[in-house]
Formats: sequence, structure tokens, C-alpha cells
Amino acid sequence: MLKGSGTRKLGGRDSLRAFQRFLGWSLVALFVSLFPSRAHAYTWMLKHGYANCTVCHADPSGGELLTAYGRVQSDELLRMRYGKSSESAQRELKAPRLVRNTLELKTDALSGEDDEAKPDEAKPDEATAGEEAPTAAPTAEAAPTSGEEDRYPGEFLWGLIKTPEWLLLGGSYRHMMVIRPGSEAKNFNTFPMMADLYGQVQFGNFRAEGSLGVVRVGVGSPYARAAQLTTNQGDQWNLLSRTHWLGYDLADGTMTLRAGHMNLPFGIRIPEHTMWVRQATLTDRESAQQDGVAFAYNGEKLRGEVMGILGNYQVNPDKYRQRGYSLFAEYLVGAQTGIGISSMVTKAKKDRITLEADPLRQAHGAYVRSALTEDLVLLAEADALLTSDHDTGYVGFAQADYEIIRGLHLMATGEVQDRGYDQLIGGPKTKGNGKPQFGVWGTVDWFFLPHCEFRADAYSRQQDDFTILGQLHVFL
Amino acid sequence: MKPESRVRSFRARALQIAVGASVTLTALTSPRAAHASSSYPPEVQKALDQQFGGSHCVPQCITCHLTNEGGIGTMNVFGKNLERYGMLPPSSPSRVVTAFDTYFKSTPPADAPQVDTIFANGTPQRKFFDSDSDGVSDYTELQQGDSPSIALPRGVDEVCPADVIMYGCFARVAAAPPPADRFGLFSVGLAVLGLAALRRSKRLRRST
Repeated sequence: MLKGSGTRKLGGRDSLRAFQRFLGWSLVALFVSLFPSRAHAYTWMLKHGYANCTVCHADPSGGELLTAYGRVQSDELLRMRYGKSSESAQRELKAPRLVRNTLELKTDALSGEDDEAKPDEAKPDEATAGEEAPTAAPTAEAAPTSGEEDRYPGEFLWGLIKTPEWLLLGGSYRHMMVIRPGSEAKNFNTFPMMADLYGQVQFGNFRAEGSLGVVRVGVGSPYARAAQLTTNQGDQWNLLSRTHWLGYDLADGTMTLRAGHMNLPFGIRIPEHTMWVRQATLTDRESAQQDGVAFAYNGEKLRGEVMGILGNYQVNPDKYRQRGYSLFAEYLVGAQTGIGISSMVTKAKKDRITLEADPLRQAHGAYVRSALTEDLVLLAEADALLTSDHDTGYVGFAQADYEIIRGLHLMATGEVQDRGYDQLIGGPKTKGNGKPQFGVWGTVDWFFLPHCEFRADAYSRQQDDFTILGQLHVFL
Repeated sequence: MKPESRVRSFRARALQIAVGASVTLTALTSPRAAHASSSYPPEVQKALDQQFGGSHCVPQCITCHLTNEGGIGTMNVFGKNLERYGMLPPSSPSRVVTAFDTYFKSTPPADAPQVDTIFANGTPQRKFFDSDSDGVSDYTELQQGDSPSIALPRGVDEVCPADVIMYGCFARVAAAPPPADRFGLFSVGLAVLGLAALRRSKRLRRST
């Protein structure tokens, strides 16, 4: 059932509208024509039957802090089982009863079997079945019974610390290795890229969430700076917070009103913060968060969020703060395919990226997330970029994710960008600045232990060195 | 506890210890700055200090790149000239100081934008690169703190802007010391010297 509606604000130029329409309908036509009769899911979590992000994440639009249910699912559905079937793993699982029941319900739905066909003992009771895996509710029954002494490895800190129902805790540590085989200088670097802790307290409909981390980046680095809390401008360690917000849930959590420092609702919320589609639109989750007020809706078929951007108050002085709006709306087509639109307009007195005075930045686009088979998921996004004193630009990517066996993914990604020729700087047009620039990525992503991931990427971009990235990711 | 449960419990604890140890090990053994390629700006600062004397700020990435995001393959017109005529290979921050020296000694080809330039080191006036074609050479613009890649007037003070971006809560650019302080120090110095001279003259009078 549809509730609410998405709105879109376009750039105002006929050519832009035509371009957007063309992109939107092209993507729709492409994926509709490619679809097999039974399509599965969005990104790879959605291929397991989850229509929106609130089931597994505290943020209504996804990312970072996991709910109690999401914590179980991240272990159950992501990690490698080393020969054990998923069903046997489920039997072994010491997961909350409600979560197990809901999981079985979801699995049944995916398999297409009728509930009547399942044995009675596997069916949840009516009250449980009616719930759409509420974000905090599972923890009420999450605590093991007195007889269950084993700790479940999916819990916070692999079960070392039990959290009360009203508290969610999480964290993320990413250690990066960068290899540039063709580089004439130092061709190997390794450094801690991310070390954050997340937390959320919830009392009734009221929620407060925040993250706290440490980072050390080089002087002039474009990364992490915009999330700093402490004010070291050199290569010292800094305390940072990427998100901190207060929220109030409405309509049984279907809607959430938030105020604070948040990820911008725009496009596909991927973890690859250096992917052009996130960098060019300034919407990555690394440090592009902004302060503002946001309203999120998560219905059965439609979900979306609109945010009024008031600027990033961790960037000074005020003239560098962007203000405007950002939004996305996504509609489920069929069982497991989502088509979305995004739009963002911001203005500042001075652009901290280009140093341009009074810049107006616009990005408008469309995206698709779909599982073509049970193991193959496709993501694609295309955005038009309209920046003052630049020609109209564009950025896009498409990624295919194939899960060979449970916990081991192969990904192939192609990306393209032309950020629009900078008329003020002038000079000859170059790739990415008036001319299209292409890049390809190959990725192996291995969830080798509960809440542990090793990822290797190799990318080749025009006008850039061939680069290999190795990343250890532990999420608490 | 059943034996099976004990085994499972042991496995879970072993897993916790293994993961914790590996994370701690990697964190402690690698205390490098993240995204280490951003070591260029301090090298550019050294180059400016060496070329023009005094103490310069750490320049912004946009001095040599199209945007402050930096990155390989994103050089602006000045950055490209520096790479080409300063003999600066990619991914070589340690060679930036030498590259600036080589660049300032180079002679632009006939087809490159160039203007007459007066060099501070006593070199006779000669033609030098004007990457942004604004009528002022790269050397002069860098000497004045203006961007050599963004045409004037937009490029004024863009290498070391007065309103430089600061990060962190309540970060502020430190205010310059008021001129009165310098004047005050000078006055105090004069007064001390005057008093010393007065005492000396008194001693001389007494001794005579």
C-alpha cells in the first residue's frame, strides 16, 4: 500500500529535465527488460527480503549502527559458514526467539512456500508474525533464557557485553592498505582508516544517536576533516563525530523526524566513499554529513527522506557551510527491485572544495537496486551535476555483486564522471573536467568471521595510478 | 553445562580474543596518518619558504589541483606545468622542493602563456610561466600568496587565505597580534635603553 509521496525539485532548465527524464526512463527500461521472472532484492541484504533499512539499522535510511535484529542478521546472512548450510547454522544459532521466528518467516516468504506448509512449531505466534521486525523490540526477548549460557557471536563485542533494551552499541574499525604498483615513489601505505563507536538510546518514541571516533590524517587531506570535533589542523590525532542526532518516531516507526548531524539522503548509500558518484555529489558517509532537520518515511513499497541542510557546524568559518536540501525517494517495483530518485541543491558563500564564491551546487538523478538472481545483485546510479560557473556535468556507476558462496562476494564496478568544465579556471578540457573519465573496479569481499570482513579492491581509473586496496573491517 | 556447549563457548571466546588481538596489533603497529598521499601540502610550504623566505602557511590542495579534494590526475594548469617543467614525477612528495627550484629556473616554451617577471634572487628580468593567463607570472603570484592557477581577481590570497578553512567544533583562525603589541614592545625597549643610558651618564658624572 502506498503512503505519502516523493517530491522532486528540478534544476529549472529544460535540457536538464530532458536529461533527467532520459536517464530515469533509460534505467527503468534497461532493468525492466533485463528482469527474469523472479527478481530478488535490492543490495545484497535486500535480496534476503528486507524492503527497508530500519529493520537492521538505527538510521532510518541505513548505514552504520545496527539494531539488535540487524546484528543477528549481519551474522546470519553475511558471514561464511564454512560448509555448514544456512539451515543447520540457523538451528545452531542462539539468537533471540522473536528474531529467529521473524527470520524463518522471511525465509519462507523468499522460498515461496505457504505458511500452512510449515510445521506448527516453526511458525511464530500471531502477534509476532504481525510485526515487521521492529528496531528495538527484538531485544525484549533477545536476552537468552537462564538456561542459555552461550553467548551469541553476533551480539555487541561478540557477546562480551550485554546491552539493555533501550541501548544500542556498535563500532567499526577499518584498516587500509594501499598498493600502487606503478608508482615511481612509495608504493605501499597502511593506516587505520576508521575507528568509530556508535550508540543509540531509545525511550519510547524518542531516540538519540551519536558516533565518536579517532582519526589522524595528513595536512590538507580532504578526508575526515569535516567530521572533526577537536581542532588540530595538522597531522595530529583528532576526535571526530560523523553523526549525532535526536529523533522522534511517528506512526509506529514508519516515520522519523530527526535533527542533528546526519548522512545526506541522496542516492545509493554505499560504503565506498571514494567512488566518484559519492565524491562528486558530496554525499559520502566518510565525512560529508551535514547538520539539519530530516523527515524519513519507510513504508511497505515507498521509502524516502528529505533533509533541510543547515550547514556543517564542524567546518569554519560560516562562509564555507552549505545550506539547502537533499532528498531521495525509492519505490519497490515487484518483489525485490527498488527504483529511486535523488535531488540536492545547496548554496554557500564560498565553496570549500573549489573556493568558488557564492557557488550553487545541484545534483539530481536516479538509481536502481535489484537482485537479478538470488546471488547476483545490481546497483546503478546516474546523477546530473549543475554547479555554477561550470558546464553541466554528470556522474554514474554500475556495480554487479555476485555471491559465490555465502560470505564471499565478487564485485565488478564501472564508473564515469565529467564534473562539468570549470569556466572560471579555464584551460583545456580534461578527463573529468569537460570530458568523460572512466574507471573500473574489481572487488573480492570476504566475511570470514562474525562481524569481520576482509575486502580487496583493484581499480584502474583514467589519469590515475592502478591501485590495489586491502581492507580489514571489524564491526562490533 | 553440556560438553557441546563448553566447546561452543570456548570457540566463541577464542574468536573474541583472536579478533581483539588482531585489531589491537594492526592499530598499534600502524600509527601512520590516514590517506598519506596528502603529504604534499607541507612540502609545498617548504618550497615556498625556501624560495621566498619567511614562514608560509600550509597551502591548500587547490594550489596545484583542480579542487581541494586533490588526487592523482586532477592537476590544474599550474600543477601540470610544475610536473612537466619542474620534472616532478607522480606520487613523489619528497621531490616537491627540488621541483619548485627547477620550475623557477626553467624557460617557458614559446607557445606557453608567459609574462616578464622580476625574480627576487637577482636574476635579470625574463619571461616566465603565467599558467592562468591573468598577466601575472606564477612566480609573482606565489610570492604574493595568490593562486597561480586561478586568474585574478578570484585567485587573490587563495594559496594562504586569511579566512582559511578550519575544522572542528568552534575552530577559529587565530587573530593576528595587534600592532599595538609590537609598538608597545618597541616602546618598552626604548625606555629600557634610555634608562640604561641615563644611569651610565650618571655614573660617568659621579666618577668624574
